[in-house]
Formats: sequence, structure tokens, C-alpha cells
Amino acid sequence: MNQLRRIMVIGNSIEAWLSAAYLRARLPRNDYQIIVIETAENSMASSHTIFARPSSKNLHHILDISEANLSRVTHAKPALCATITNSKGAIIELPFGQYGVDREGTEFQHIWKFSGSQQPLAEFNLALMMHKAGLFINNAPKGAPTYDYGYILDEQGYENILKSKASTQHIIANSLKLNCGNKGIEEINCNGESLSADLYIDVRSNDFDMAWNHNHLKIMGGFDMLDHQSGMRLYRIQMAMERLFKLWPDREFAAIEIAEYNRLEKAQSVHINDMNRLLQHNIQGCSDALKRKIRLFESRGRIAIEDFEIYSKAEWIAALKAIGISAQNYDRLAHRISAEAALQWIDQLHTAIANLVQQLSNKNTGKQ
Amino acid sequence: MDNGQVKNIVIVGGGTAGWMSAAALSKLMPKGQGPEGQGNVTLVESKEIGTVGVGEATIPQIATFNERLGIKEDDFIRETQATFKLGIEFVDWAKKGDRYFHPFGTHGFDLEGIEFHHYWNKLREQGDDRSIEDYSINAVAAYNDKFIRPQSEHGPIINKLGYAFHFDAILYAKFLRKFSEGHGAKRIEGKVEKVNLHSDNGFIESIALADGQVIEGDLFIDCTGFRGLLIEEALQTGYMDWSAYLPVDSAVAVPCEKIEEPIPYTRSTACEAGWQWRIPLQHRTGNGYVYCSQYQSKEAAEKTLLSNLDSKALASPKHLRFKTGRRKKFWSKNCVAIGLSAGFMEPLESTSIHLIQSGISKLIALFPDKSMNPVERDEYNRLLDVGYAHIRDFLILHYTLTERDDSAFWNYVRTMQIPDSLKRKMALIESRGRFFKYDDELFNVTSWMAVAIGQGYTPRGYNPMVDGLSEENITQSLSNIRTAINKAVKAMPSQQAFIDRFCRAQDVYTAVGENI
Repeated sequence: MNQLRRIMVIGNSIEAWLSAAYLRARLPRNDYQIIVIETAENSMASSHTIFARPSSKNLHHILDISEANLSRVTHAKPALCATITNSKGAIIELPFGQYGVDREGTEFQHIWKFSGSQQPLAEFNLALMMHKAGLFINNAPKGAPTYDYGYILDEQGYENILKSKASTQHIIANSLKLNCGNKGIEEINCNGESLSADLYIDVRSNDFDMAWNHNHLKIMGGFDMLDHQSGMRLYRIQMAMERLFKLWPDREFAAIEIAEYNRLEKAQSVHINDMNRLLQHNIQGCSDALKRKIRLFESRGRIAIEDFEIYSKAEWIAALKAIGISAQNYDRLAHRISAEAALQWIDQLHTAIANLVQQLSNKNTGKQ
Repeated sequence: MDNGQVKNIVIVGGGTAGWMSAAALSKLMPKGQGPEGQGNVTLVESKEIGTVGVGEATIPQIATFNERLGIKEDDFIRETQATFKLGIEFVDWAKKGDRYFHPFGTHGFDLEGIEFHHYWNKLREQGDDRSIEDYSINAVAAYNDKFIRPQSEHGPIINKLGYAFHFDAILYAKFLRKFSEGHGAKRIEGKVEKVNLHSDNGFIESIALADGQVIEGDLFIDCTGFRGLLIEEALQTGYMDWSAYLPVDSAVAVPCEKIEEPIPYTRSTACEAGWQWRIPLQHRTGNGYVYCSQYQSKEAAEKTLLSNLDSKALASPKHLRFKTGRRKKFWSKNCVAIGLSAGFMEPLESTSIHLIQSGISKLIALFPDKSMNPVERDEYNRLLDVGYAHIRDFLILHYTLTERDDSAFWNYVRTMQIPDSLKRKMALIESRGRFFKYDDELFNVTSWMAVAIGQGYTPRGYNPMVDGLSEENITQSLSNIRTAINKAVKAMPSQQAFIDRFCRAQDVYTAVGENI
């Protein structure tokens, strides 16, 4: 048989255990051996918490981790936005919910701009407003701006739950050497012992260009605070695993499939890098895609969506506005209602959101 | 007060593209009263100039367009003599005597997060010779002449049924004209004699009609067909020729009498130098032959078409010439080309109307002011560029996968060079049936697999994850899907019965033209 049978995950912390748990969840237990080679180096300065984007719900579904279990073991708190502190100390909130409510096919931010409303755009984002007030309810009331939520998880608790889901052999690597050749890894030397596998998944990488080479799959670990705060630390692993399973190899490691994986990985990395550049207010020499995004937003507040996009329009708007990029104009479709009617509607919506937040606050329902 | 907004939109040409544009813009753009007013829509067309009548067959996305305009589906069907379309049957494409079905909707169901075709391919490798079409409710319903409009209460099997329409494009244009005029669009009868450009920036200032009228506008939409009166003749935008990949350049079309209940699918039959379509409507059957003039004469093509009709022709055959490809810029200065003036990639997968729809919706999403900011224009051109290239690759797939070697035409397309983007996609499919859909890509994994597998380009392997389910489990799951599909189709009404009940056209209208 040409099937992979023995898979080694090299790394530590959440990155390694999430990979192992994912493999365990998707691979038939009797047919595959999964071994975690736990390395000593820290992937990043720990903040004791892990931030999970809304897409982690799908991940947890695959891992068979219920929300109740997640809450119990990791003290999970719902997160309505990602809160980023950039290297200049600025705090940027990327909301997991839309700004306002689209009307007659026109996105809210255009109507808001057209109306000349003096209320900040952020005050029309229910996710942001609830976040600021420390409130949470699972679903937005009917007619209100919609949102989703991620989680803030206790890192140790999360690692424990992933370890239990991975339920696999692991070796603490006091010394580790990877013997690499043209065709990936030939063998590894761990604690003086030679070990081998059919596929090595190395979660300590920062190699954008050659994520996968034959039997050596490198997944970018969470190396900086920005990745940690934006949820990319988990997201990168989740996406890498999803791609890997869509392209699950055998021992031939078909070059065309590996090339496709690397191409998709690179596209994803460009999006993450673009967002990180915005968050760090460092857009010099940015990608063409980010240049397009900035130009289009500046022109009329539109967000260009690229292939394999990661962030929502609301997140891009928040990031662009946070570094002082404003829309000079708005989509003319906003004119389908008069300026007066638009302003009246906007004011009503603002009041409705404020009242909703106040009511929730009064009831202290689901306080975060 | 001139606040820089586009107030006057002039659409030149009144075929399908022209009236679809007029309908969308008149319905969706703000009306032209007051200082913020804009979007006065004027359409100029001439009775002297015939329309090509792009596309009698559509793809499911047309429903989105109608829905956005608030057009009720049954009204639209009645008014355009429409029938339902569940997919396309390709006859003699892989080789003579062969056939396959490209369904709307899906093949089977994904299992354990793995796409259905991997499971099908595993069983096939182990000797199960059932066609992947047995797992498509669209294909099974189509070959049984059945149709039902999926509703939430119908359950998961019937809700996999995707559908589009066959309709009379000339009637559709008439229907949309009435709709557009009802929403304030103004129609002017006249033939454009001259396009006047601004001397400073080269923008189109106005069009002069033969009767002396001069029509000024802020934004011009060129729906003049292959000719590209504004985008090409006036603005000289340039054309990207794709005839090396898609070499057909001619069509001859003729309607014939309806002699049986319409079938709910389009048939495309490969012929000596191209392929022939058969599109059943409520009142007649549309037929046409798309061919390459390098390999077959006009006369021979007409003879081929007429000899293949299943009943008496209702009109004289109508001939067309075109060059496959697209404009180098879809939007140039203050002119946006929509429809055949933007490009044409032949009607093989009924994408022409979709491309009109796509152009209109992107124009609305990026609607400019009078300055025609290059940012919006460039983004429009980029998005359309990507969309056209994806469709082009899918169309080429049909040709490059043929095994036919019985004519010079098929020898050419079988051996021609193909774009790298398609090579990559094909290599991934061939390897293990891998497919990644791009955000702006029209055709999904079902479409690509239907054509690839249908033409004998079956993946050499399957996702090894499939082995996670036992063979017995997979066999049972697939058997359950087949049983459920057959049961659901058995319970459906015939397409004719469905039409009779909900959306039968009032008159048996006999068209004298034929459309592609």
C-alpha cells in the first residue's frame, strides 16, 4: 500500500496539539499512527490566553469539542471582536459583525456617509458596542446588525483539551535534528535516536515560499503578538489542516498537489500580511491587493474582495479607518433615499442600537 | 447644480444586453430628481438593426438577476415562452456515440467532509460501473422529463435540484423593455450616425442619430453587439483574440416546430466543425450550429443544421460571424461595454447572459461619478477580466478533452495549446480529482467533474481519506443516495405538467428569428 501510515507532528504548545487533534479527528484511528515530537522552544511569549476567530466553531465541530466543554475546560469567553495593540501602542478593534444594516442592496457605510451623520460609524456596529459594554448575547435581535463571535480561551486549558482529543503518543525532544534532503526529511534524530515517518508536520515554521516540500509540511507557527491577538495563531493551523485534507497525499507526494497547497498557502499569507501591515500602519511596499483595497476604500468606501479572502468587510473597514484612511465619498446607490430620510433612518438605527445595549446592560444579561 | 454625479446614462443597443442593463439601472439606480438625482436611463435602438438575441439558454444565476429586479418567476416564464433547464446533455463530444450530462446542482452529497466524486471514483476503481450521473438529481430528473421547483419542505434531495431557463431572448428583451419603461427608462428610436468625443479627455460627449437628434450623456453603455460601436469604433479599446483556444467563429440558427413536450435540458451535439444546440421552448424548438469557418463552409454548415432538425423549420436560417475573445478593457473612459460588445466566448455553456448580468451588477457596485475615477474603472476591469478567464478555461476544457480525430476541426482542438491556468486545473483533476474554486469563478466542482469525467478524463485516484470509510459503508451510502434520488424523481411531475399548472404561456408564439 502507498498510504501514509505514520505521521509526526513537530513542535509544541497549541500549534502541535491542535494539529495532532485535527489529524486524530479526521484520520481513521486504526490506520494511522500520530506521534507528537514535543520541542522545547517557545513559539511565542505566552499571554496565557488564546484568541479564536469565529471560524473556530467549525474547527471545534470537527474536533468534537462542544461549546459547553470548551467553556468548562478553557473558561472560554465569547469575543465579538479581535482587539489588537500594535507596535505603536494603538488599540484597534476588528469587529465580527457588520456596520449597521444594509438597505435596498446598499451597504450601510455608504448611507451613513451620505447622510452626514455625526455619530461615529463604530456606534452602528452592535458587536463593537456590546464588546465595549462588556455584554454578550448569542444572536442579534431581528433587524439589528448581525454578528458572529469567537472566543478567548485559557491557553493551558485549551492545550489540555487538545491533548485529550489528540490522544496520541508524544516524545519530549531534549535534542532534535532534522536530516533534510531534496525530498523533504530523510529522518530525524530525537534524543539521540533515529526516528522516521511518512509525513512530518512541522508547526514551527515561518517559511512562506515552501510550506510543503515532499514529506515535510511546514505550518507557520504564531510567532508574534499580532498573530496571537488577531486569532491567526489558530486560524493558520486550521486552514493548513483543511487544505492538507483536501489534498491528502500518499507516499508519492504528487508535485502538482503540493504546488497547489503552496500556492493557496501563499495567497492566504498575503492576506494576513496585508492586514498585519495595516494594523502596524506599515503599508510601504505592500502587495498590489492591499494597494487596491486602500485606493478603492479611499475613493468611495468600497472593499475589494480577493480570492481566498480571510477577513470580513467590517474587519477591513475597521483596520483602514484605524490608521486614518477614510472614504472620501460613498456609493451613489445611497441616493435611492433622500439625504433627509437617510439621516432620519440612521438616527433611528443609532438610537435602537444604543437602547438595545442599554437594555442588555440593565438586565446584565450574559455579562461577558 | 452639477455635483459631479452621473445623471444621464445612455444605453446604445436594445437587445438582451441593452434591455437587461436598462431594467437593472432604471430599477436600482436613484432617480433623477433634485440635486442628488441621477440615473436617468435612455436607451437608443433602431428597428433597422437586428439583434443577435444573445442566449436562449441560461444558467441558474439568472434567477438572482430577476429576483433583484423583483420579477416574479412565473410571470417571466409565461412572457418569454420559457421552459426549465436542468443542465446540458453533450452528445458525441468525447467520441462519436458518447454522451454525458452537465447538471446544475450537485453530484450526491459530501461524506465526512470529502467531496462526493472521490467516493464514486473509489467504487469505480473497484469495478462499479455506475455513472456519476446516477447521483445527480438533475440528470435523473432531466432524462425522465421531470421538474419541480424546490421548496424548503421538499427535503434535502429535491433541494439539490438547481435550475435555469430556456427562453426566447427576443421576448425577454420585450419583457424587460416594458419593465424598464415602467421604471422610467426612456426609449429613443434611432440609428447612431456619429459618436462625438470630448476634445480634452476623449470621453464620449454625445451620440448623433441619423434623424439629427443628439443625445448627451455622462455614462454610455455599449450594447451594440460584436461591432462595439462605442467601445471599439469610437474609443478603440482593442480586442483580445481567443480564437486560438476557442476557434469557432460562425453560427447558423433556425427555429423549428415543436413536435413533443419540451425536455428540461439543452442538448449540445458535436458535429464536423463545431457543435449544434437544441433548445426546447414552450412554443418551438431553437436550433443552431456553431462552427469554425476555416473547416466548414457556410453552405455546408447550413445543410448540416437543417438535416439535423427534428421538425419543419419555421424560418430561414440566420447566419452570424464572431470572433471569440474579449475587449482589452470592458470599461474605457466613460463607456462600459456590456454583452457581445464586451466579448464573446461562444454559447457552449450558456454564459452570455450571465456575463451581461455580471457586468451590470459590478457596474452598479462600482458606480462612478462623472470623473470616472480610474480606481473604480480598474477594479471593474480586473473583476471582469478574472471572470472571463475562468469561463474561457472551462469552455476550452470541453474541446481539449475530446478524443475525436474524425475531422480537421477536432484534430485541431484536441491538440491545441491551452492556457497554463487550465493546465494546472486539469493536472489537479487528473491526479486525484482535486478542485479549488476561486471566489469569482462561475463553475463549481460539479461542473468541472461532470465535463472532465463525462469526456473520459476521470481522475486517476481519489482522496486517500476516502479509505476512512469502509467499502461496505461507501457502497451502502451511495446506494441510499441513488434510491433517494430515484424516489424523489418518481414523485415529481413532468416538466410540461408543472408548466401547465403554474406558468404556461398564453399564446403559442412563433418566432421568425433565432438566437444564440
